[in-house]
Amino acid sequence: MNRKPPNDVLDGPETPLPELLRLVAAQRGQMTPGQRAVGGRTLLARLARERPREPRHGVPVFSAVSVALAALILLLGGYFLVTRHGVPVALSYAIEGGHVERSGLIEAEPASEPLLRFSDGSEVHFAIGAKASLRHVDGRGARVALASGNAHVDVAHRPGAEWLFDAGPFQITVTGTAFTFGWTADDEQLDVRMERGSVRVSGPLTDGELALRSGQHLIVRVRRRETIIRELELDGSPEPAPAAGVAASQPAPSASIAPEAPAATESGLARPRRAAAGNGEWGARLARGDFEGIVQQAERRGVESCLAESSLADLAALADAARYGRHDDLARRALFAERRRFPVSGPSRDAAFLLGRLEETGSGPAAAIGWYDRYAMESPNGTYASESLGRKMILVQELRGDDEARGIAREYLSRFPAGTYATRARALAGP
Amino acid sequence: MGRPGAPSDAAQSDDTAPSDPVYDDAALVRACIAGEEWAAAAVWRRYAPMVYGLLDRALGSASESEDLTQEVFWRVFAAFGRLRDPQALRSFIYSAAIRILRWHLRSKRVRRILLLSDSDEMPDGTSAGQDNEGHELLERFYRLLDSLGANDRTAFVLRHLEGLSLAEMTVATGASLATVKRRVYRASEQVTKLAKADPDLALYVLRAGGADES
Repeated sequence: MNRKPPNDVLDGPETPLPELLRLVAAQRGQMTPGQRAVGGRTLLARLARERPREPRHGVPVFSAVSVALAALILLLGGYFLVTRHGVPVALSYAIEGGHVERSGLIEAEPASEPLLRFSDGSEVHFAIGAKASLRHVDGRGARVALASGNAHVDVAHRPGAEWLFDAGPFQITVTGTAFTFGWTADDEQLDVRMERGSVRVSGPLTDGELALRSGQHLIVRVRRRETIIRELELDGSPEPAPAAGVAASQPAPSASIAPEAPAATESGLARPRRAAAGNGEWGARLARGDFEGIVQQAERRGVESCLAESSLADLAALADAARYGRHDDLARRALFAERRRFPVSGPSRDAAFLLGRLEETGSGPAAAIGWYDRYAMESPNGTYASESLGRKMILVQELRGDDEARGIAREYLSRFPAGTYATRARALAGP
Repeated sequence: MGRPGAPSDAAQSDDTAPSDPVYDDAALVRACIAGEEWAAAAVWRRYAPMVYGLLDRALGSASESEDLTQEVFWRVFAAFGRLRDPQALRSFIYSAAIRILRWHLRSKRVRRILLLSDSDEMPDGTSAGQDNEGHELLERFYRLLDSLGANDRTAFVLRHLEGLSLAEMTVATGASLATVKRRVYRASEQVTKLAKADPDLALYVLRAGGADES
C-alpha cells in the first residue's frame, strides 16, 4: 500500500491522465462575477450580524478513532437507532414539471411550474420562469436557492426541521411554515408573503435577522435601501396586488430618495424599521419580532417615563412595536413623544406620516390628511413622500370626490410616475 | 496547466479586483482586525476566486464550493488575530482552504460510511443523455476521486490540478515532504488505475493518448 514512490518521477512533469485533467481545469474553478458579488454580500451580511469566532477545536477532525467508532455504531445497530432517534436519513424527493440536474439546478419543462415534493410532506412550487437550484438535502430539510422568480413554500412542521431558502443575497430560515417568496434580480428586490408560521430573513438591509410571522408581507428593495413590512390584509387597498407573488418591478431610485436613508418605505401601516439606524435594546427586539415584549416592558417600566426618557431609537422601536401590535393609542403617544422631544430629527418628521396612517383608522380621514400635509411640508422629498401623497389622494377622493382628487393624482404622476399608487392615479387623472 | 492557486507570500498586485484601492495584504489584515467592513470586502474580492477555484476543482460542485468558500473566509476572519505575518495573508487563506477542504472530504466519507446521504449525491435522476460527453466525463472523474481518502485526494488536486510543487505542498499542508510524495504517488496510481477500469474514461484516455500502453 505504501510503496515508496520513485523520486525521479514525482517532481517531474508527469501527470496522470493529462487530457482529462486539462478538461477538468478548463471546466471547473472559475468563479463568475455573480458568484463573487453574491458571495461577498452574503459574507458581509453575516459579518455585520455576528462576530466570527474560531470553533473551540478548530476544524472538526474525524480521526481514525472517530471513524472506527462510527463504524462500530453501525455494526451495533446504531444506524437503526439514529434514524429513529436523532439523525434522520435524508429526505427523498421527486419533482413534477421538470428535473433536478446533478449540479442541483432545477430545469423546468417548457411553460411548466415545477413542483418539488419531499418525503416529509414539504413542497416547493416554482412559478413559471423561476430559476432555482436544490443545493442540499439532508434528514432535517433542504436548502433551495432562488436565483430569480417566485416560489411558494409549504414546509411540514417537524421537530428539528431545518430549511433554508436563498433568494439572491437573502437567506430565509424556516422551521415549519407556508409562504411565498420571490427575488427579482434585475431590481434587486425580495418579496416574502407569510401565510402561516414564521421565518427569519437575513441579508442586506435587514440589520441582522428579521422575524416575520403569519400575515406579514416583507419587501426589501436593495437599490432603494427600503425595507417594508406590512400586513397582508392591507395589501389590497393602497396598491394593486402583484400578480405572481412579487411586487411589480420598481424603477431606479428616484432622486428624491435620500441615498443615505438607512431604511425607507412607501408602504403604509407597517413601516420600515426606522430603528435599524439605531441601536437601543428595543431595536434588536423589534428585529426579532418581539412586539408584545417591547410593549409589555414599556408598561412594566412605566409608559410615561419611557416616553419621557427613552432614546430616539427606542422611542421609534416602541412606536413600531405598538403599531404592529395594534396598540394604537400607545403608538400615537410614542410618535407624539418623538416629535416633541426630537423635533428636528428625521424620525420625528417621519412620525408625521405615521400619525397620518394611524388617524386613517382613528380620528378619520380629515385628521390623516392634515398629517400628510404636515409631512409634505416638513419633508417634501422625504422617504415617505410618495406614500404620503398617494394616501392623501385616496382619502381626498373618498372624502371629497374625484374632482378634488384629480389634481393630486396628476401631481402624483408627475412626481412618481412608477410609484405604487400610479395605477390608481392614472385612472383618476384620466387621459 | 496553470497554477491558479500556488501560494506566494508577497503582497499581491491584485489582478482579480482592479477596482480595489492599492492596499497591501498587511494593511487589509490590520483594517479587518479593526472591524473595517471595506477591508473584509477587499479581502474577499482579492482571494475568493482563488479559494473557490481550489474547492471547485477539488469537489466538482459549484454549490458545495460556494458554501465552503464562505466557510473558509469566515474561519479566516475569525483567525486574523493569530496571523503573525500579515503579509502572508495569501498563504494563510490558502492553507485555511485546504484544511476546510480536507475536513469536508472527511465528513463526506464518514457520512458515506454511516450510509447517510450526501448532498452531492442527492439531485435526482437526471438522465445521462442530457449531458454532453465532457460533462459526463467530469462526473465520472469526480466519482472516481470520491474513492480517494481526504489526504490523498487533496494531494492529488494540489499537485495535478493546482500545479503546486512538492515543496509548496509541504508548506500549504504542513505535511513532510515524504508524506506529500507518498500521498501524491498513491493517489495518482489509484486514479490512473480506476480511470483505466472505467470504460468511458479509458476510451477518453486512449483517444487522448494519455494512457500508459504497457
